[in-house]
Amino acid sequence: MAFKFIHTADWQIGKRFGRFPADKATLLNQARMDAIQRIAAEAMAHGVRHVLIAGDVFDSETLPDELAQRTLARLSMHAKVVWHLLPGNHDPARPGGLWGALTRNLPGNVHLHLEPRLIELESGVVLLTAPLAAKSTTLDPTAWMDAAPSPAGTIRIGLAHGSVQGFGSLGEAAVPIDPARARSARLDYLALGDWHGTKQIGPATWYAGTPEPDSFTDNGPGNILVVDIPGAGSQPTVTPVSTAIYRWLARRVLMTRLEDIEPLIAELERLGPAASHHVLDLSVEGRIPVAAQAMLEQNIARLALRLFHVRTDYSRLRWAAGFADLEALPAGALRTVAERLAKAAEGDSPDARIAADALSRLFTFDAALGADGAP
Amino acid sequence: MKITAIRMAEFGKFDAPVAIEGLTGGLDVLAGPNELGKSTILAATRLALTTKHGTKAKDIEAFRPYRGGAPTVEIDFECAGRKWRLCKRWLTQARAELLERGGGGAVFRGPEAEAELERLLALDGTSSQIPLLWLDQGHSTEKFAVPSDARGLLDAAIAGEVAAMTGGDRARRVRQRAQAELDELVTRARQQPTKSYLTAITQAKAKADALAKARAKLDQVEDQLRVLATTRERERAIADPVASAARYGALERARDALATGQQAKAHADRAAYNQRTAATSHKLAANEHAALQAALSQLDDLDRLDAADAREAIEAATAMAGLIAESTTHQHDAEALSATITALQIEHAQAVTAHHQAAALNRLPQIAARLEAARAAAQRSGELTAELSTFGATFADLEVARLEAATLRDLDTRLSAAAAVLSIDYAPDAIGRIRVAGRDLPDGGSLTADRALVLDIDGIGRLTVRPGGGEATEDTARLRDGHRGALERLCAAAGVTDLADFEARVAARRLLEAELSDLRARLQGLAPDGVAALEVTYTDARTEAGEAPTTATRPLTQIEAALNSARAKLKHLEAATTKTSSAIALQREADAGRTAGIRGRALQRDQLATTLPPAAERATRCTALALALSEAETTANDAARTLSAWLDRAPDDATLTRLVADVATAQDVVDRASRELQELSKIADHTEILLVDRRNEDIESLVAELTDAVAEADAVVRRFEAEVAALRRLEQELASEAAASEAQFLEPIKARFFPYLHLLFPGADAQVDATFGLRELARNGATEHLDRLSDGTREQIAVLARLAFARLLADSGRAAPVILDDALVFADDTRMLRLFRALEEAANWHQVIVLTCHEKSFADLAGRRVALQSWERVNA
Repeated sequence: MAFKFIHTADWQIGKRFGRFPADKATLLNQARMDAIQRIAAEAMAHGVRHVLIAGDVFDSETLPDELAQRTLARLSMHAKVVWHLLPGNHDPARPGGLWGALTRNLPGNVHLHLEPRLIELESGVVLLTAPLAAKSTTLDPTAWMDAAPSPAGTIRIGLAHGSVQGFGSLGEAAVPIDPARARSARLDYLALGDWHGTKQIGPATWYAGTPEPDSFTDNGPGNILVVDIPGAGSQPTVTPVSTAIYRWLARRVLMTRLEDIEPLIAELERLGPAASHHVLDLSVEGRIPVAAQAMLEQNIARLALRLFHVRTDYSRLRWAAGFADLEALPAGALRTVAERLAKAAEGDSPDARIAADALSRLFTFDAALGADGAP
Repeated sequence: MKITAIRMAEFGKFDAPVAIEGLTGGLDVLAGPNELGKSTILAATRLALTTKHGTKAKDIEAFRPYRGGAPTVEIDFECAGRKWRLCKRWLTQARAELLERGGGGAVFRGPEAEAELERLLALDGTSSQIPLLWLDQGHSTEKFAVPSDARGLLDAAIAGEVAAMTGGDRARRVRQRAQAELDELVTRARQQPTKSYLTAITQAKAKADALAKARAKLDQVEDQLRVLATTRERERAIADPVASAARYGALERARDALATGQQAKAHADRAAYNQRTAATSHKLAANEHAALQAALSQLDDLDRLDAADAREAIEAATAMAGLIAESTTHQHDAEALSATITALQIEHAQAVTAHHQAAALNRLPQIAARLEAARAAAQRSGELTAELSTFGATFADLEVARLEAATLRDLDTRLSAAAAVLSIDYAPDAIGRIRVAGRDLPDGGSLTADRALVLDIDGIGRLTVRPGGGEATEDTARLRDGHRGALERLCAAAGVTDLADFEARVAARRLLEAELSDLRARLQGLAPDGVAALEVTYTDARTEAGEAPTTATRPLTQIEAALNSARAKLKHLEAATTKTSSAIALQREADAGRTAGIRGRALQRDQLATTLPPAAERATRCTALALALSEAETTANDAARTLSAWLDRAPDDATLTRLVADVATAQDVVDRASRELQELSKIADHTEILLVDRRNEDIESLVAELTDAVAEADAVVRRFEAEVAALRRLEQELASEAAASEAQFLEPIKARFFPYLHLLFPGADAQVDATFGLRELARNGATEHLDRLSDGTREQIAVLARLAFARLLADSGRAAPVILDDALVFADDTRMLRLFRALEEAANWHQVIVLTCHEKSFADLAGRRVALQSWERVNA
């Protein structure tokens, strides 16, 4: 028999965004809760009954009960969907944590998997869970699955949260998971959480990633996975489905002249109205003429108005004064000082950085005051 | 700027409206007596140009006339080539109006008028710093320097001239902007963060603090979670059925072991009691048997002692009889010896008396001879002493006489040597003789004229011969006469005629004294204690010899030997008597002791008889007691064996204690587990409540949020730091450049100052700073600091500095009037004239208004004279 379900993870409901202004942080926070609605809609659209959340449903194990209950209420609103919630390293199932409170008044379509166990999802389909009871562990929580028996012909699905080693980068959880677990435990699919991007680890081992991006890490976040297993021992078909509202972009622009920023501006302009749901982390590097500074700042300021949020980093950008810039200054003290600062601004030392900034201010102030000296 | 008219109403001392019209814009002089109101005019002008009409009453009150009213000032002036009229009224119905006269016709009122006035003055370049150029009455000697808040005006005036060298006004404005930006970020004095920078730091710190608190709470949560996990785990472990059964099983086993041990211990205790009872019975029987045996034995001992004492009493009686006889013999011997000794003592006394009489008779002749010789010596000694008492010459006096005689001889020799010697050889037919001191000088005689000699020559007269040497010879002669007199007095005192007699007399005295000494030595040998004592000795010897000599029976030594022998025997006899008496006493004491012993034993025997059975029953009683003792011993041995058997089975005290402790321990384990379960349950419940509270705070997410917020706030602070560093660097660079060009900066100042200075002080040099402040003045080869200059010179320099500053402003297109209110009060005539020339020169470049009360003194000052007049239009 075939079995189709949705694999998702790392909802991290309740996450705050301290680097953002309060209003924007609220919107980003709300978007994570709203992802439930979108996932439920995808489940309906794909004819899926079971949604497996592979850990880190909540951002912390100390969330207010009210928020956890509100989350349950959201889940219960989609009665045709069975939600399987697994504690991860952000929300480990420890006594005193929020999971204990959730066990009371638990909706019928919400299953909490707080102990390692094998349960039958449907006839011929079993789920082997590996919840975390601590933020970190040196033991592979999926190890028990190798010896867990199930009738022949049963579709075995593993649900775990941790860091599979060996694909080039580690997740954030200090929880090791053997990348060969699917094979050793005869799993038809191992649904993993922790790596916030969508990532295939093996033929039947996937990270779903977070359904709503929350960082600039460019690892393909914002998806859920629709998994279709034709039968026991068969290769699953995994289809990523985008669910993100906000897109987080990290861009590093190396500048030698003002025009170097234009490709980025063009890229963002192509987004059209969707730009208002983009968060940009812009790092400007290189060296540009002081005369271009005002224009650059104006361009980026204009850009910021169209995006949801822009974070800029000019710490590696140097202002340089060319011969023409210096010649434009009147002979005398101002030009002498500008020349001295321009020379001191050469290099990458902290003092050079200060000198470059001072030079920038000199040109900025002079330009603002007017060439005729009028204020 | 030029002022062309000043009008006032209800202002200060002016109750009536007054005006100064027709100011030329060059040199204008208002000369008038004291109390005219010149200082009020200056105050009104300053107020109109610098104080807004809406200014608070307390700042204007000083200008309200005594009778009340609203101060009103109107000023006509020219600025930037246009003519304006400014009218301001303060306090009641305050208003401001600025209208352009002539072709413009612009009118501004209220705040617009104030703003436009400010704009006009700024356009003119002087702004509200105009009053810097005005010198008030009474302040003329104060040091002048352009204040820091007016440096912009000064810099602006100078920058135009040195622009080509210093970057001009743009560098200054950039620096001002940089400083202004810095002022928005850090304090000027200590460079401490302020305003938005300080806010950013404060916020970053607040967020960091909040984060630290949140982390602390999160740590608490983590601790609580750990506690809860540990607690729950511990609860499960304690409540585990296997563990619980083990605890209760251990308790049951301990209790069984204790019960078994306690039963064996009870049996052992009973056996011990039985054993102690049997042992006591055995001991009592043994004691009773032994007591009977002891009493019988004691009776035997008493009998033996009585027999021994009887034997000793017989022996003692025999010994006592012998001692008494011996004592009697001793007594008789002693009495005989005592009589012998008495007789010998009488004989001894007689022999001693005879011995003394014989000795006295032997000494008597010798003493008589000594006594006679002593009497003769004493008589002769008395005679010699009497004779010596008649001698007046002593050896000491002789020594003095010898010295006088020697001196006399010496003086005679000296006089004789110097004196003439006169020899007389009478002629045979001489009829007379020559007399000296009344005596005839014999023929052939000679005289030594060692002193004045007066020779009486008959028929001729007196011839006086004086020795040579004059007064010295006469002195020597007088000295010799003195010594001669002294010698003669000594001889007279000694009863001699001359020195030779003196010598003979002393020699005779010495002979008598030698004889007297020998006599006294002899007398000492004959009668050391004196003749009288020797007389007594003689009398005593005669008495002792007596008239009837005593005779001795035998030699004294024999008598003494016999006496000593008798005494020794008596002493030995007394010792033997004492010894015999002691032995008798001892015997009597021994008799008494024995008698007391016999009586004591009789009492003991009576007492023993009361405790013992009758003598006939005593053997039977002994046998019965021996049998009872044997039976008691058997019973005691049986009890001991029984006790030993139970002791082998019963635990000792330590073991029993351990068994009790084992039960207590097992019970404690059970109890503690129960209590711990209760405690753990409480802790877990309490911790869960705390965690619910913490979850409501969403502390972990808060930490994450604050971590981001702190990073963001730190980034903001770092941006401020970078901004401050950049601005500071820029400002420092520009300041450094400005300092480097200060020399050029001073040139325009000197160019304006020195012409005026040389007008007043020809050939003088001065050190002027960038604020027109004069520090030192060098004249006639001497340099003086400003503070050491006279009031007059300082007053004049204060005027010159304002004129120079005004000239600089005028040259830079910022002409402004200089107003002096009785500012030249210390100047002498020469200086005054030179100052007039300076003011006249200055008026070529900008307006100069002079207010003075010295009309005559200022007669030589050129310029237009203006007068205070009624402000007619104000009434209209």
